[in-house]
Amino acid sequence: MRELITHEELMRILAAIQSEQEPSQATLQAAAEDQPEQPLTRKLPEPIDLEILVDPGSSDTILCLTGGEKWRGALVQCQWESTVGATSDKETTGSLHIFLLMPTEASLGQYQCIVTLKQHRLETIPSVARIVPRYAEPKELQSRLQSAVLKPSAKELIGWIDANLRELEGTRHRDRWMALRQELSEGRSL
Amino acid sequence: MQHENLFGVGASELIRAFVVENDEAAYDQLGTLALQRTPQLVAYAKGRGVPDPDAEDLVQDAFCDALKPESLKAIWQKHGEQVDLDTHLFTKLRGRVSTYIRKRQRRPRHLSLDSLLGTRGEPTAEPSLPALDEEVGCRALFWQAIYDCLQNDLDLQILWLATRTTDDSGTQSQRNCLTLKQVAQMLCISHDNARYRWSQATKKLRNCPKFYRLCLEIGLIDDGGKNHA
Repeated sequence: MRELITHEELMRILAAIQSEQEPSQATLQAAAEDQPEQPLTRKLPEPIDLEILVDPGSSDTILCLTGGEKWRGALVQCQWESTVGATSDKETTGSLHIFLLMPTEASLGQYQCIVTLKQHRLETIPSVARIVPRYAEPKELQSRLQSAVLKPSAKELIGWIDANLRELEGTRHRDRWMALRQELSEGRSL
Repeated sequence: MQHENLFGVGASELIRAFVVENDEAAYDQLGTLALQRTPQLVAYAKGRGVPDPDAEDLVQDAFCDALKPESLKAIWQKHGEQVDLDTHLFTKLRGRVSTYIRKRQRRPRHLSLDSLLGTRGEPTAEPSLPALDEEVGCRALFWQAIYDCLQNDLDLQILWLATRTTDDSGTQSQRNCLTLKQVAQMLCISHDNARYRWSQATKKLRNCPKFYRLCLEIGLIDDGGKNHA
């Protein structure tokens, strides 16, 4: 059967949809008026339904994620691909990633998490992914956690695994999640 | 009669029930479903430069246009079971917004897909394409259509991550996207799994009538008569 859209067309369409790379209005205005830097923001529409704010200070960076119901209690990985000069006291290169846990309590219908990355000045919007326990591999998560600049505590991660055990019922890797949980509880994983 | 209350699949059944069986309950349910799209449609109108109160008025007008019995009969006759209420509403609103902007002589600069991507090419055939980077509501409709097609959070995230640029300064002609290996790392899944799911998700989208119609409506693809059934 003939495809409705070719692969090339689809790639062009997705590129156009993603053409949201312009700095936010606040940033543009600040630049025009020669004001101090304003936070970078990006709002991802439903069904992703997430707003990302990055506020680079002189030495630290504040990251704020605000999402709808899907983000309730979610374990989220954020990654900055290019972090040349990102560390305030020394030149560094390469990517940097962190994990954070979204709250389970909403405020005005939104779930918001704010973290400060000490000693890192980051001036771009990170890639953001929500870990889906049903599909994620515990070993992959463990490996990424070990190299993360910022991550939840072992206790918080155990709470996240417990909260998702029901979703893991019947999956082939439930035992591996339980093994990771055990390692976390013994303080061996992070 | 009660019908499946799902936008898309359910809506087409409701349209059929109303047009074919003159089912008034189905018509009422259609109105309810349409109202659920108000935020996205208002956002679209505002994204085109229509001020807030006017945007809401235009959306109401578009609802009236879209839900006229003769209008529903026309789209049923044209598309049959493939009819899509999202696209129908959007088309009506788009017409209303275009008329509004023309009257106010405040039509925003229009960008073709080529200019959005920073590539050279012939102007697109449709002269009234909305500028995608100005259309918040339009984006929401697109991603909703993609989600409706894929029906899976993980696949949506793979598609999202693999096609977004990773730096804010890059131009569209120099897109710097995550590789599927990096996407896999972000989602803590295996590289093989990411590759397989990407392949399946893009295949689904390429064959999804709803997504195809939305792309046609917005002018991102030119049918040119090649894909008419």
